[in-house]
Amino acid sequence: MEDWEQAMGELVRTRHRALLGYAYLLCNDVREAEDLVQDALVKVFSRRSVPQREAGEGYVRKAIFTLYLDAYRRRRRWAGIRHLVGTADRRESTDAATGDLLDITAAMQRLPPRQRACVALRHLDDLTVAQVAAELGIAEGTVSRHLHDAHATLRHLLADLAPAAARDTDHRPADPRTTTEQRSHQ
Amino acid sequence: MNDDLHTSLDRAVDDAVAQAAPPEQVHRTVAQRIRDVRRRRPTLVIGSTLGGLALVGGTAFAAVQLVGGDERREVPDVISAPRPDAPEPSAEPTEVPTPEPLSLECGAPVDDRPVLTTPLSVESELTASGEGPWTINTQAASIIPTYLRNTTSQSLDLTLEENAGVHLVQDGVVVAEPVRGAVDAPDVTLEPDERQILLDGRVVMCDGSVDVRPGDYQAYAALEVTVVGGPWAGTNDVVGGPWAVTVPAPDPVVEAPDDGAPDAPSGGSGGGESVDEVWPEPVDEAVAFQGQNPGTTAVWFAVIPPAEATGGGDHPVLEAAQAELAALGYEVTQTPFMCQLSAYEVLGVPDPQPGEWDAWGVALFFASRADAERWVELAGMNVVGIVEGEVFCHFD
Repeated sequence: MEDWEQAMGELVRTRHRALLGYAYLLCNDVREAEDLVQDALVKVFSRRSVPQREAGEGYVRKAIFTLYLDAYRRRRRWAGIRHLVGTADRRESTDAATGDLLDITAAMQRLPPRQRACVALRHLDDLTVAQVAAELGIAEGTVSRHLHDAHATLRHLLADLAPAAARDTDHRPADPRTTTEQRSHQ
Repeated sequence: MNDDLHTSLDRAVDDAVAQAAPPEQVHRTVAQRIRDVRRRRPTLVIGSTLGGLALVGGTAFAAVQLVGGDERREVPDVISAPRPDAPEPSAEPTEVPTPEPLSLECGAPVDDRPVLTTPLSVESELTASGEGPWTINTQAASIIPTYLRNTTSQSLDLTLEENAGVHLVQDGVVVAEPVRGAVDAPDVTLEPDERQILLDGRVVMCDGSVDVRPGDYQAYAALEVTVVGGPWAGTNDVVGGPWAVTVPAPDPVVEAPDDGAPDAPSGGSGGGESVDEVWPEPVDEAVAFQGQNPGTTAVWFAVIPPAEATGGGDHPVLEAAQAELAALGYEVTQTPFMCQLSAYEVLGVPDPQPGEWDAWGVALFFASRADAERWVELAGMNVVGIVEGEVFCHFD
């Protein structure tokens, strides 16, 4: 078995749920999430050099986000001109779900892609803000800002979110709004 | 719902995983796809322009050598694009110098020979703004704004096999390559000199680093295109560049404009006491809509909600805002909220209902929130709101 196949196989075997979950929270569609994960794995492991074990998952996550963003932008490119024919459709398709699952997945879809990615990495995979920043290739401050804005949106859409928002203790405490809003919910 | 966010997301993922294919099946499918890709890994031929090459068979427009893992498939030695006004191709092969293949693979050397520009060229809007080097954002949706151009005098039917991928070269060696996205590739017909705007994928370092290191590079854009029918029929790589680019250090700190800030706007002054102040310069709409800067901030001066929208144009509220900005020297168009989705929530605009138009507005775009806020402060104008968030739009 070649190096790339061994590395890819181990990644799929050990981290498939995490990768699929990340993709699913971005696109809210199981089939699309599966395609994103597979396309990302192909893109990363088709390269001449096989990524090192520790870096492989990061590469695949980045590829998932890139692929999703590319498809998202193409949908928006169409949506950006579809208004000309009077079609108002900002809601992406959602899987059939009930109750709480519909709430959280529908709420996630109200977030811009980068905020969605930050929430997924921070709250599903329990990465630190620094790790999220490294995954997405953006500054830690930008991650903190995305999380703050995402929490504000999700808090508005969902109930009982304050305990989760309060778990963000490792981001920069410089934003007084965050502190104020957290206190107001206690 | 009393679960915290982590638990809620976890349960959503569990539900998705239950519906998805198992890891073993994913492994098999992906492994087979990777074998297929590795078997037909392409190299790129960059040759001189038409003048030095002759014609063979009249079917293909560039030589492509395929280099797979352990196999190499030779292709005809002599290929070129026929001149638009050239006589019908001869059936007799003609010996001409073979353009040496040039690989844009990681670690491969790249020299300064010119790229092939016939029948298609990949060009960049960067060159419209001067000589370069240009500062690029490798996290942007479009790293290098490029387009494909038909350089012949004939109509070309095309299929894009992949999106434009940005390769970065440093010290004559490819050091970063693209992570290509899935191609949403409609068949395209380009008339002579017509352009097709391209989307490019992310670029990653060849040495395994996730982030592109700050520094100066030569950038190339390459994509695979199939020309259907005609004298240039065939599938080949089209390469554009090089463009001298600079990747800046990460984490740009948002600061108030300093002494090096742009001069006051050419169109006049805002509030009386701010006449001598240095005004932040708005970003050109065409540039803002490319989505290259995640920090782009819009100042919205007028907004028509969906219930009142007419699909843009002819609305007196928007026209009045445009006139007010024109008096200050800013020529702006009317912008649909689809170009900045976050504007809906930040400005409290309701979503359009079925049958309604999207919300429209008039906005100025700035590179940062600090610039936007400073401009508003200096202008002393009433604005609907300032929205920092993803801006991207494309109007065909």
